Amino acid sequence: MTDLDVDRDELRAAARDMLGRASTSARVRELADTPDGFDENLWRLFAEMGLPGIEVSEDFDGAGARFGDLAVVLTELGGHLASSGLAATTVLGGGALAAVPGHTLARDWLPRIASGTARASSALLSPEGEPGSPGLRASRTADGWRISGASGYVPDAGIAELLMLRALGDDGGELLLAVDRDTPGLTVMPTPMLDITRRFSDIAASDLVVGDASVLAAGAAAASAVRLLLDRAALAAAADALGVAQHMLDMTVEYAKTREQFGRAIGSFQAVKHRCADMFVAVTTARIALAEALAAYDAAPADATAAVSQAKAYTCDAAAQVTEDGVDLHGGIGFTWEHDAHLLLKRARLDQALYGDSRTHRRAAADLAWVPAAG
Amino acid sequence: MNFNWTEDESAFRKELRAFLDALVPADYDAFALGEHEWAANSKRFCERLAERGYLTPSWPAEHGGRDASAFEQVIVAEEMVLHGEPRGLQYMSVNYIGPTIMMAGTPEQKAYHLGRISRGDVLWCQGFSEPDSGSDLASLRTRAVSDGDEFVINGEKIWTSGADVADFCFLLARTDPDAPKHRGLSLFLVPMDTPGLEVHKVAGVVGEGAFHYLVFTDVRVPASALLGKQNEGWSLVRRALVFERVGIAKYARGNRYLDRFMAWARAHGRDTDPVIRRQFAEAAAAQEMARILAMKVADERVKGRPDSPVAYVYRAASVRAERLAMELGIELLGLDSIEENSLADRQMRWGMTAGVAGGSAEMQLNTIAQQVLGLPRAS
Repeated sequence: MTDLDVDRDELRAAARDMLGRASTSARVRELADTPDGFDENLWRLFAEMGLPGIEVSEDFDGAGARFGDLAVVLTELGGHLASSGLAATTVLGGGALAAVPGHTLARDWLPRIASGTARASSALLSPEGEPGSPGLRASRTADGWRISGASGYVPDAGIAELLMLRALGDDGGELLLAVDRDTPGLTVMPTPMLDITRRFSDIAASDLVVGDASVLAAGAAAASAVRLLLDRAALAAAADALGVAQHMLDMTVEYAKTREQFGRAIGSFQAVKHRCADMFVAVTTARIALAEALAAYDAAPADATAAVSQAKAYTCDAAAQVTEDGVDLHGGIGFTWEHDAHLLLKRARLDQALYGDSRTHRRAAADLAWVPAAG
Repeated sequence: MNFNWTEDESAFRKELRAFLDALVPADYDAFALGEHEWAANSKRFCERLAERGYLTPSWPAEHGGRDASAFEQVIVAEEMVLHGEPRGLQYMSVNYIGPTIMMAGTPEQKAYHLGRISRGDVLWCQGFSEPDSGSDLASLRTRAVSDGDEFVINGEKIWTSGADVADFCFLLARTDPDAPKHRGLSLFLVPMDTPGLEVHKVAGVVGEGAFHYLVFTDVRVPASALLGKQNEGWSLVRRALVFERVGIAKYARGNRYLDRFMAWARAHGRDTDPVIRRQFAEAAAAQEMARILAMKVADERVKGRPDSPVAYVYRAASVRAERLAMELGIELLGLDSIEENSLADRQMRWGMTAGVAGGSAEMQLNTIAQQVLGLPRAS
């Protein structure tokens, strides 16, 4: 049996240490009141640690690490309720460009992403947030494409310089395009979410004209790049949710040890104890399921879809349950705005709903495990 | 999947599978048979397994094994389950009774018992639970009183699987009634034909005569039947049960049922039913989680961390997986699932007992809460 644990403790500890200082509860709440939720200082720290370029190939000045390494950082972001464009830039921005390493745009932008001097994101979903088909349409012009339509829930589009767009061409094939966020004809509209720790936007295209040079991939190549990006996004949501769930578990166990009722710690009551133990079982199982899916992705990205779907559904459901239990176990204080419990719960719920909800992923896993039903 | 079997491990599985395919009838299920029938089969099968080195591969060479890794133990467990557990209850002696004797036995005990276990010609039962001591096992009252070079045992044991066919009982009894409850217990290796030891059947849901009730009336055993030091039985049992955790592969059995349910669904045009597909996906995911956790438990063992909390999580996840497979069977087969010997019948029985057999699920949660999370005890 080959080794189950790739040792990522050092990276985890470094990210945790940095975020513990820079992404405090007070800071998260300050950022929630800003228009774009962006923390200049945090981004600088990300760049100093080389996090934006962690997975970027060494050919483009990155660290050339695996997606599994990046996921360790994403889990810590979730655990510290942090965002500031790192997940969008790495998972969706760098991820899209890395799918076409020979492309001029990849050669231009990947070094900038790696050095932390540019941010990017991708618009992959329908306006309703469905991953099944793109909400943008592209019609052929003499020397490029005219884009129209809309895409929903684009993470950190407001602070990205480069946006990748997934569109359905009038020839029936998919397209993956890269455009400057400020290109005329492209509108970015912030979507207020219950999760106040992250920012999402709807984007709309109207008479957006792009040249062939902006096409990263077309047809089958675009479809497979999009497939990989959606798997990456699902894994990233699961990694985030795991961090959120671990934070809630730690916070709740600590509270159960210190909060006293009837003259003793509430954690000595079996009703409380068992819920905490159930939370631990859920978090531990989710961690192992996610590690398995990440390793499958890193070994052979195109063959990992079943493991990804299984891990996305399991981890995000676990995080939703754990954060709900955590709010309950905190009693009245858990319902107050000042306490972080609600921030965790809402972030877990958004992770669960993003990039295919659990029902969608479970159905996908069943289709892959169980020879697809006829018709 | 990320953890890939090595070439040697895959070759071992292939060889073992071929051997079992030839040895064990298709659709064999030891626990669907009467006790005497599976027991006779168990000795027949295990002697053959022992000849080929498949019974105790993970044991040290000096005791009849070949020092195979915990992962090979997992492979053995999976293949045995997939072939209807031809070892019957001998899995217990191989997984933890033998290793406990290795840990604490005298040279004579090791020579005699380990030799017999590794040859596959001996059946053991476990004498732990009592009518008044279930989850609170350390409160047990069966007494073993030292009398010259003998111990005299009086008391009752219950829920004992295989007692009617066992050659020996792995018995936990109280040797010091004045000590705190965990400190006055000792382990004994008791021949089942010792005068004064009576075996009564308790009808259970898992199979006719699967459980027993043992009554010890002035049962005399030589002092050489004591395993380890007197009054140190509790810590020995706790260490023994750590061994038990590697080598149980209920998920493999669960997956076998899911395969059967799937085939039935296809044959009856139910495979397109979205409710069934969703339930199938959930049950399959739960089995997969249990499988991954089993690998992690073995991995922790290989890395010298046998006390890792993953073992408790594995147990909890297995219970959930058993139940989800059972529910799929009920949903799929409807009223037929309640019929005796229906396709779902066995999984119904496993699902029903999963939360209690081998220590209740609630006790596992207490252990996680107290030992892993550090939550305080009740008093």
